Amino acid sequence: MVIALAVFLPLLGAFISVWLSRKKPALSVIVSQLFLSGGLLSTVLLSIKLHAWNLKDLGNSIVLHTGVGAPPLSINLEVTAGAVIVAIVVYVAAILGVTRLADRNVKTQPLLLSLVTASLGLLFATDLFNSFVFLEIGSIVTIGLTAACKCSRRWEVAVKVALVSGLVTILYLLAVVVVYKTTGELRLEALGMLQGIPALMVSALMLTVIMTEIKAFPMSGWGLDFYQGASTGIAGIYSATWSLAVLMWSAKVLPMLPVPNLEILAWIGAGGLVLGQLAGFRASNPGRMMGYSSAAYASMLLVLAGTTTGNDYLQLTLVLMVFAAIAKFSVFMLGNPEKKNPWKNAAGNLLLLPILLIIGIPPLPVFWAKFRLLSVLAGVSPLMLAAGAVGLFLEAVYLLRLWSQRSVGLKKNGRLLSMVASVLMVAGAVWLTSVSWKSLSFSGSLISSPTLRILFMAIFGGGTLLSLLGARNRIEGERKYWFWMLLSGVSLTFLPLAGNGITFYILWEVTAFAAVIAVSRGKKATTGTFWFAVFAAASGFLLLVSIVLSGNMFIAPGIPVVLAAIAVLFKLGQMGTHLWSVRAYSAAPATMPAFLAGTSSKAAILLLIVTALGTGIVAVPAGSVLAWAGALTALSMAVMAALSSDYKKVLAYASVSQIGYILVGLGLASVLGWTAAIYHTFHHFLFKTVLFLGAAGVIFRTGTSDYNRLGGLVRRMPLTFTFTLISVIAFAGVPPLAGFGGKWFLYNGLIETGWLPIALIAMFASVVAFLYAFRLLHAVFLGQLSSANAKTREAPLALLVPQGLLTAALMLFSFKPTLFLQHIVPAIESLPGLAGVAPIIDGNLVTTAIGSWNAWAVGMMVMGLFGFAFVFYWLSGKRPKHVGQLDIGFAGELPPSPEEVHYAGNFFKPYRRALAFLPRIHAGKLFSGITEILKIAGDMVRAIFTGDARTYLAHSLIFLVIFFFWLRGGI
Amino acid sequence: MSTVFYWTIAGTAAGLVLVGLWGILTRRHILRIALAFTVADTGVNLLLVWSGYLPGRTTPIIDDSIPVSGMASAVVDPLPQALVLTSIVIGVAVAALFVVVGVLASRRTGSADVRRMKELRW
Amino acid sequence: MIRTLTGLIIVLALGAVVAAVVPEMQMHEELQGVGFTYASRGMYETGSSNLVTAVIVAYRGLDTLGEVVVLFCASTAVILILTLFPIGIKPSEPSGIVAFTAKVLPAPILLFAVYFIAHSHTSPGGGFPGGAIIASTFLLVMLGSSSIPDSSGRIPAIESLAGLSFGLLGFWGVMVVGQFLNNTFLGTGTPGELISAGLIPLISIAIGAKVASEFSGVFTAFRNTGSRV
Repeated sequence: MVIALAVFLPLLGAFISVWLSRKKPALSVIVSQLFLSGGLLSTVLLSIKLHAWNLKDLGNSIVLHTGVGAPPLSINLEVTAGAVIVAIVVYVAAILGVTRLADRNVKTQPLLLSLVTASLGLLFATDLFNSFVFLEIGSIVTIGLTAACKCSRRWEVAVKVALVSGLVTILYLLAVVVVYKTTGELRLEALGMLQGIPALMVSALMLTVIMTEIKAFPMSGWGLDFYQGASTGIAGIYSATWSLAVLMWSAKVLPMLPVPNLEILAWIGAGGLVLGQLAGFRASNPGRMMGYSSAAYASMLLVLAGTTTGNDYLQLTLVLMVFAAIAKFSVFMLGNPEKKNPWKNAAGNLLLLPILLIIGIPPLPVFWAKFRLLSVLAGVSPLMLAAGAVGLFLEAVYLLRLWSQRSVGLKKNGRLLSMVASVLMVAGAVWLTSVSWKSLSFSGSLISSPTLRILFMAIFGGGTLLSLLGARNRIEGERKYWFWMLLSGVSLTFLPLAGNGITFYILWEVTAFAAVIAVSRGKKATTGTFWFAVFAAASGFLLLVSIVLSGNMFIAPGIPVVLAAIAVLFKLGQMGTHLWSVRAYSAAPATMPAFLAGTSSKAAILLLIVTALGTGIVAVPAGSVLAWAGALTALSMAVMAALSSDYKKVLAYASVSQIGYILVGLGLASVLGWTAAIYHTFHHFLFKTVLFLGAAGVIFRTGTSDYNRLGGLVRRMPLTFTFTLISVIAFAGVPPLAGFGGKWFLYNGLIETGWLPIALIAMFASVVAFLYAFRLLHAVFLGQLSSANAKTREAPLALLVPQGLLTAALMLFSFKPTLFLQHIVPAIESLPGLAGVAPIIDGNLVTTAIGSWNAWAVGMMVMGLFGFAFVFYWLSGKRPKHVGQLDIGFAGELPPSPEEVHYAGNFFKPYRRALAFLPRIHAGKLFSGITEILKIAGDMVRAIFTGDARTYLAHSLIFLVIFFFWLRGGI
Repeated sequence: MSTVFYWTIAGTAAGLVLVGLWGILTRRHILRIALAFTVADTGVNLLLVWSGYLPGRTTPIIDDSIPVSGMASAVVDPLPQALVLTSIVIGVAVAALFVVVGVLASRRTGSADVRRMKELRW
Repeated sequence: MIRTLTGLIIVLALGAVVAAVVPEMQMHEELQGVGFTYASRGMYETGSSNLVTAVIVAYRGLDTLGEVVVLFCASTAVILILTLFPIGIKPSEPSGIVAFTAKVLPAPILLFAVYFIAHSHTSPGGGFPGGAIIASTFLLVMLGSSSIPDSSGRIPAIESLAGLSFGLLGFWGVMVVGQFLNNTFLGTGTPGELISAGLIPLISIAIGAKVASEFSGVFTAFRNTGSRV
């Protein structure tokens, strides 16, 4: 009874509303909602009865007999646990959709209600011909709704859909004839009874029908045109009801196909995934992008059908398809169909959530399925894994582009509907996380040393707290991003505790994408955020593949290490990939870079350490690659920083340059090298956070980050100046402050190992670092005060307090580094596989084979000299004469404005000239080169989607013929 | 004799399907394509009926002329006939909708040529 | 030219696919599979001596419900589209012959249709063809007059009612014997008599009414010139 209600209540509603919608439209909407709600209630009851929600036995089912007798004489509707969950989603989408359609045209209601019955019928169908009838209902409703929608291309779309469904009808009936003629019955199971040539023919026919219906590449042409041309309302409802039902029906039928080896399907799917997404990469229309994404999911279904079986298969398809459908629904509902780009004004976050879900960012539900999907692929063939990962990454890129095309923070089109969808998505995340909880581990076993774990947690936790404190000022409406910063920080803090690959990956991705959202809150954040997101996605996918390839081990030797290393480079924004970091830092809300550069970037260092530990410490050749990369980064980025004249950019380049030293240290694979690296990691955190917070204050008060418009702020912002000064001295590596220690260890290690060329480069880089540090101080704080900044005040307290705390810590550890080292050095010594001798710590004295360093003594001496000089200067009695800024002599000329005489302008012109002979290497060129190649390839692939409906039919038929003869093994 | 009949029907039906598909793939006028579809559809329906054919039997309606004991050896298969009824009705429904959409498409876009309907592509 | 050639190649290749399967499609001498069961038990199980009707309405009643929905959706869609974008065929003055026929013929045709529907379980006939015949009467009447029939109220009402009764008949089966669209729970009577075969005649009537009203609705929509939307 309940099943009958679930399936046929909407149909009764449809029959009523065809009359009621003409007489009493308002009442008709309510009645439709009632019938739909009744059906929804029935499906929910069914789901409880079938224990569907624990996902343990999705094949579990109850049956409704229809007609007279039992199958094969009559037809059954079989409600499986998996299908009933899908049915609930269909109902929710329809209930939301009815209100949306009711705004436009009440008379479409009978169609929508019939579509729900057809969807459920298809989900529960067990009969070949019965499925055909439901498929036809769906096609007809789709044509009708499209032709009646508010979209300028309605006729073109309707004609195309009609042509394609006409072809499907013919092919399907041919399959029915062969099946009945050969087996004498029409249950879906009859497909499996076929043998010989009829089996091959039916396989070819049914696979063509299915791939055309689910819009899998290369038969996706009509689907792309549909999503591009149909109004967003229709496309949204379609994707969450009918399209979803067809996908799940296909998931049911595909494993029954009598092909000799189901793995063929996986290869078709994997190939389609790469080629289809390559074409999608070129898409510029947002609706079309959604179409390509839908083709990606169709391909994934084929892959799954070819590689997995049993409950695994049911779970994976269910999670992938259901949540992707909800997400698509949400995206489409946000679109404004009357606009050329419907998502121009969409609310940013509501749009981002579904897009992140489709991409598969944890802990959003699709992630669980994609992770397992890639694991399965890795088991089949590395080639298939590569195809899967590349396809999914390309999809991620164009979906992120869809998101970044919007203009920030306007309008509220479809906000309510998509909020409901968002709630569903978040609920799904909670649900699946609770189901999959056991696969997570927080034992911290990835890092064997508890001291290092605590150190990293302290950096992450402390950095997050201080950045949050900084974000509590009211700069440029920043209050909206602190939650995302918090989320990013919290998951970051737990990162050192991760006990296995999947846990590490989840925390890594949450950190990255929460930061993406936070950055997107900046005022001019669009391109910067896009690049940030793309690189975050790239590093995520690389890490994911690397984890999947490693199996239970975290980062196995070989290819996984290389992939993880590239992931680290992307995350760090190293040379070549600094593209994103520089753009994102300069685009982000003012305090966000402090968090990203100071705190979040250390996650990559952590990954590097974990990788090194997991593989038994980086072997020397790999280590030297790392060290060279680090050294060259340090130098080149330092040069970039010196020549740049934007406050944020200089800091961003400088930050990347500093990370180079850490890489050199880790690459040494010796105790000294690692001591240098970890020492520097910690101090980099301290001073970089101070510098970026200081920059945030300056930019907030003056409204610019351009060196040429700053200057002389020392009198206006003395505290900020002091903190910045100390940090600059620290990172320039001038004794007695902290930066010196790191360099000292590093040179010790390099000399110990005998890597003198790298030592030379590193040393030269630190000279250049001196140049940009010097320039920074002068350009911003010294020199002429620009008249525009004459009334500037000190930075807000919320920014100063964290700077003060960090500076205090910096001073403490500068003079007493042994406080830090006496814990760290034993911890590093205890790690397995590190070469070399550990430094000996005795009181304030640190001794290595090469020399010794007593920071306390050096510090005291320097302070003593400084104090002596200061007292001497004070006592000498010469007082400077204070004059007004424009109190200068001139002869018959107007005095130039302060900006013109500010010597920050063209500060390093000579150096720039000296370096002019070098070819201008742009890292951007590498990536734009890759992009160009992808674009050309994408253009070649998408040329098959000519737009002529008959070409699309030809695709299906050609596929049919080729597949048949291929199965048969020749003509 | 009945074998010849059997294969003639099969050949005709398959021929209709192929001719219809050829028309769909090569015609440009939208109503001709619709017509080609109905040709192919007819072929498929004929194939359906054909699949239930048995030599020398009567329609599956039981009346006094059929011995009660030998019903199963007197009539042809009723299922394909039932299927073809459904299939015909569905064919009519799809064709009607197709024609309406086609006529309106050619009126509203000013051309009945499917080659002109290519603004959505790539 | 290229397209013709490509089309030809594709069709020939398809022909090869079909030819490959031909040897497996030999003519049977005896009923096989479910066909045999239908033929030997169908009449007793459903009470319908028309075995095709037994399959359509009783055994595979769900298909038929789906079929009704297909037609329903198509007619709703056509009416919807034609209401939004009227084609606008102006009714011309009917010729004498048509006008005369439209007066004389409807009654006998209707009678025939009613017989056709009501006896679907005993002799050739059924709801679909019967409904189509009724609709053709409607078309005849419509062509026989120059006015636009204003039946926007009644036709959908009949359509609703017929559809609802089909659905509810299905639910009746679920409630009594737990089988959707079961027709036998009231007894099947003596095959060959008018009052027999359980619910089959009722379902046929519902189908007939539904099909008739849907086709009529579509015909009306074609007459819609856009004066009233």
